[in-house]
Amino acid sequence: MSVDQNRRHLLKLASAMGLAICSGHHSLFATPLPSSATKIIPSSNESLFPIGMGTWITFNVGNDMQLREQRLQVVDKFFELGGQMIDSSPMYGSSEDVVGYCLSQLASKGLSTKEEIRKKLNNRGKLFAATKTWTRSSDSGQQQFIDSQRLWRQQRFDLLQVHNLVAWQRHLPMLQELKQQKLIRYLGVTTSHGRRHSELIKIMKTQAIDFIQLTYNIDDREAEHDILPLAQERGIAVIANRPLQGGRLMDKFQQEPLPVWSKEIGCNNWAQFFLRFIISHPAITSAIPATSQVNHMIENMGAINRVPLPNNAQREQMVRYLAAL
Amino acid sequence: MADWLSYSLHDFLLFSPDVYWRLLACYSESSMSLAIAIELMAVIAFAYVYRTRKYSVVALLNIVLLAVLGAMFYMQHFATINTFAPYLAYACFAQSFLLVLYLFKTRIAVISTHNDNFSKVNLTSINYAKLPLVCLAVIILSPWVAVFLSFTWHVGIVGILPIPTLILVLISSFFYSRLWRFVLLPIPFLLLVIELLTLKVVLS
Repeated sequence: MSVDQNRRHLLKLASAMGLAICSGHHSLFATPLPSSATKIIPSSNESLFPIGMGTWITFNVGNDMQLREQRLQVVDKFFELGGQMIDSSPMYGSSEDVVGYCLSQLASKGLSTKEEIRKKLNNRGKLFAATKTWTRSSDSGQQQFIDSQRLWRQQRFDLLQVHNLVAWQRHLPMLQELKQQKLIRYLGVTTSHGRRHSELIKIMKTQAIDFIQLTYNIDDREAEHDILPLAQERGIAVIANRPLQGGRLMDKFQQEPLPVWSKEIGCNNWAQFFLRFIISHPAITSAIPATSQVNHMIENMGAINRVPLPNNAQREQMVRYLAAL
Repeated sequence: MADWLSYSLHDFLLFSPDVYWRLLACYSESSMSLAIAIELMAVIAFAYVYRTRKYSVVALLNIVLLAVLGAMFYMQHFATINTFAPYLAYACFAQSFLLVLYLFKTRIAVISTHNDNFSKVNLTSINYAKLPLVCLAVIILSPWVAVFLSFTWHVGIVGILPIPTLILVLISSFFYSRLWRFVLLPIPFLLLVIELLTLKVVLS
């Protein structure tokens, strides 16, 4: 190599390192992630960043301005690292209002989540707004949607879900109507903690829905038996809630050593171990860990990196390692 | 049936413990002057009751305490993090209304009999005259008990925060006639159970 070529090579390296440092993303954001770093929504072929953000408990901070500002930092980091889906619900207390506050604060700082911001070098994520309807009557469901629009400061939502399958027979027609009016783009249903799976399967087989949301993680794999294969068969996207079992997986295992092969499967910490297990299932479209801390958000988002997601053999290896601890 | 068994107390807690404690601390600091006024009013009321045996003052005081608890704590503050807090406020207002009915009914009895000592309590093991002193002790000592249990003293303020208020309201129920006690005990008892369960989950 000539002196000029060496100098050119060194300059390229230096600028790449500088970009990486400035972006604040430990997975070298200066170059795009592989296509396997996104998942596809089956009903539309739209791509989606597989690590979203839940807001159950973590964003229910009421009118406490100090805590709201802390959540703002979390949301800012989430979008900075490419995050898209934020999932909330009227059931989560003030969470919708706090999310709306964060989004409006980011917009006022010029850090919009709208499409034009993706032109920025750091590929800031485009918001995928997901909320729910949680009421027994369809009239209240309409009002709840209006309330969500007000609280989120959003006219349109990407996804509206029937929370915990409450009165789904009454709500699904309303959701279909909202979809026709283009006020929502997708509709779905949710459950959690392994509850009402048989009813969920019935809905998946008989109703035209785009998404389901349920609990799926390395400690709760019941959905693998029938629901996840059915979702693949029916072209339904799957959101995994409680990916860390409400924090219990971290409490139980974070003092244990990671396996020596963890880096081979792209895991630098336990959060990434648990999240990569989930999103490596072909039926899973997104996992939505909830956090109130920026450093945890960075760990979670680091689950998407250049290392290919674990294959079936590696997934079984992960399960066996955990069982042995 | 299996669905119900899968629920735990934690599933009903909509907020994190640190958010709850911050809410209590911020609320009690912002209502400090009201808290001091209510504590003084309660001390004076029970001292008056001890001296004069005019037990209708107890019901009046409880009406004020429950109305403040419902409107200030449950409706304005706790409702910001708990979707069900307004229902707890309604329970406080309902209890206040029942106490108003009790006062109205027994006041009519007092007017007709010219006897203000209308609370017909039949306690065999407790000296009835000492009840006002017990209530005074609750009011004055609650903040100190809170500090002793490693909470901030705010959580012990009567009339502002639920647990000491509801304990006082329940003890006060011994001033009412036996029949009215059956009517006036359930709501504060249920509220106290809910608050203690909330505390249990928050502390766990």
